[in-house]
Amino acid sequence: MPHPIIRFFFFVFSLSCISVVAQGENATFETTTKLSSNLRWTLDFSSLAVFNDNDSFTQNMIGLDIHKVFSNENGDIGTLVFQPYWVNFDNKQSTPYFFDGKDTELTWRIANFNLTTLSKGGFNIRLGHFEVPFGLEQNIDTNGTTRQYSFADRGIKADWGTSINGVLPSFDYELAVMRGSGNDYTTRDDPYIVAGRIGTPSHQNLVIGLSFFKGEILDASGTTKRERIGLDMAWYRCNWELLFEVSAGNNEETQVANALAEVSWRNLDESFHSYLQIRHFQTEANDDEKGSALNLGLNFNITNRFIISSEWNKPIDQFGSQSEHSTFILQARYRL
Amino acid sequence: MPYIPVTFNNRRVGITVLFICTTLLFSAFSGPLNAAYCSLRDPLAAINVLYPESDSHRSIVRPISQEARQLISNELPFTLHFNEIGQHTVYVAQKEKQPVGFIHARSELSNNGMIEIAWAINLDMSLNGFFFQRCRSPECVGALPQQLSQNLTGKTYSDLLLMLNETSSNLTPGMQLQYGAKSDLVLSVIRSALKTISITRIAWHADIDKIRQQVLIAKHFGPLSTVKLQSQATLPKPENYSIIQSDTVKTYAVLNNEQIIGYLAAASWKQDKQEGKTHWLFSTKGKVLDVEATKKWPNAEIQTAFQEVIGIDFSLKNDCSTAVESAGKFLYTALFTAL
Repeated sequence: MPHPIIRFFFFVFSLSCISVVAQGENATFETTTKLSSNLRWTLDFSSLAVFNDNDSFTQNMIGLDIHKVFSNENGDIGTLVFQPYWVNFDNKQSTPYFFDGKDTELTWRIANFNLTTLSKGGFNIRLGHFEVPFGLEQNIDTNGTTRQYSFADRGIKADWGTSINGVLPSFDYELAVMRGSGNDYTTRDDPYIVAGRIGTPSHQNLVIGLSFFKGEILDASGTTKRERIGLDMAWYRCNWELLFEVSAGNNEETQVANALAEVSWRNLDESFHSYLQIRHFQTEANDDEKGSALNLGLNFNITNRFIISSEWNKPIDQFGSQSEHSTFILQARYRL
Repeated sequence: MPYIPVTFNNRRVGITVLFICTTLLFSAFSGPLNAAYCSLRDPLAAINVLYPESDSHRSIVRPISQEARQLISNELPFTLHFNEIGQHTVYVAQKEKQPVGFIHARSELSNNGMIEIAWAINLDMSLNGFFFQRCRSPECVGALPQQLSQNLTGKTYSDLLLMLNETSSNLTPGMQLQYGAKSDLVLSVIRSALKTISITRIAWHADIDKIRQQVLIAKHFGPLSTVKLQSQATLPKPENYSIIQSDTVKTYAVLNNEQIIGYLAAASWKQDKQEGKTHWLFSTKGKVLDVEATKKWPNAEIQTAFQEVIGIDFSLKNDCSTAVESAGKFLYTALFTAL
């Protein structure tokens, strides 16, 4: 891994490049003008406070969000999404292992190029850092939000790798081969992931998907072998949304099962969103331990750029090292 | 009750409060809602349904500035929501590298929440159909989309306005009778169509002009032809050519392999209460090869009047008998003076 200072300069350099590019038509160089076409970019600030008797902390994030479509006279060639985020924890007992014991780290949310020119969007090739295709995460963006689904069950949300993906008349699909190391690309302990999802078209009011996941996921001390198959469903009607995901498989030799159900409601202009999630997890280890939790979330779009989100997490059945106390999360997010 | 301890010291609380206050202050000047860009998806299903003959598409991202928003607001008979500004994408459906139409997806508020409609717009800015990308009302499935699509296909902005009442707050009584209980949804769809056509032609006007020029010259000179803007000569003062707005005239050379193979003039015209923008294609000798409107012609009579000049060689014609012939002579003069 490069030294943190080098990574910081890379981050600042990226910001500078984008600022120049964003001058667009006024830019001096032709290449700059070309780079600025079909370009969206913004800065994303958020601060999140987690209140729990075991580990109360704040998490502050500053990120760059770039979306650029490369085109020529023949049509679109591909799409670049580039989202480096500077993440800082304050008062957290232990930060994720890839922070190497530090409080601050450059993290990669999404950073990939999707080649879309091959077959009218029916067969695309993605390369870079992207969400592991599995379950509800595939169609609903939860990056950087308090609302999350089941990625914790698989131990990884996004990873470096490549995929084939596409939108066909009857179904959407993505099949990925990934490094298994999460934020940093590393070959330590030779991790890997093979995962995929196939589902009915995401614009419909009933979306059903099937997923699989197989891999050895890197953690602080080595890797954990995980295998899952999953079924997800989303049903939309007027202002209501019902989501459901169930998966089963193994962690090493232990059989596990995971289920999530969510009901949510938005007001007419969608400036307010509330949801209630019920999560259930069980394993055959230690006499069939089970755990359940209830999540209640409220999101307010205060203005068009400023969002306040909160989530209250209440364990129902305590499981393993899971906290027995409730957790309250409050997030303020501003997109420049 | 959950136990929620407050363990932060004053400095941390101060920093958090300062951050929230700062963001609130900035947000007072905020503009569009920007979801994370990783959530952006091309409307592939819509493009494939609306333009099944296309073999590719090209994105054109443009900002809808405050200035453009003002122009759009002036044109629309209802308020444009503040969320409508920001950056948006129009997709150009292409077949064998030639544009066949546009796709523009817009969100619209309805009584059943937000609906998102991908509109297929012809090169002359009339409608070619629509696709519900998101509509969570049970009314959006069944016969309604097909029935409505048949009613809206081919309609221009002016045609759509005639489907609404005088204040544009509701459908006309006839339309209400036709759609009954589904009138509220139909009203949202028609308002979305009006908004989409207006936004597309105002915020993407330069791209649309260029694409229409490309299609016109490809039709006459082949797909490899290109246009190059000529240095603009000082135009003669219009005399009886008054239907041409002389300050809008732009002249281009049509090239193939660096060789000039024709000329193109773009100009707006106005007569009585009718107006429009036209592209005129000339041979290298001065003969009119084609005249087309950048929007659908206001009516068949005007279309005929303009297209009657096709075939006239203005290098040989000195006496003009119609206003359109005078316009042709004026543009011929502008083109060949600029050489």
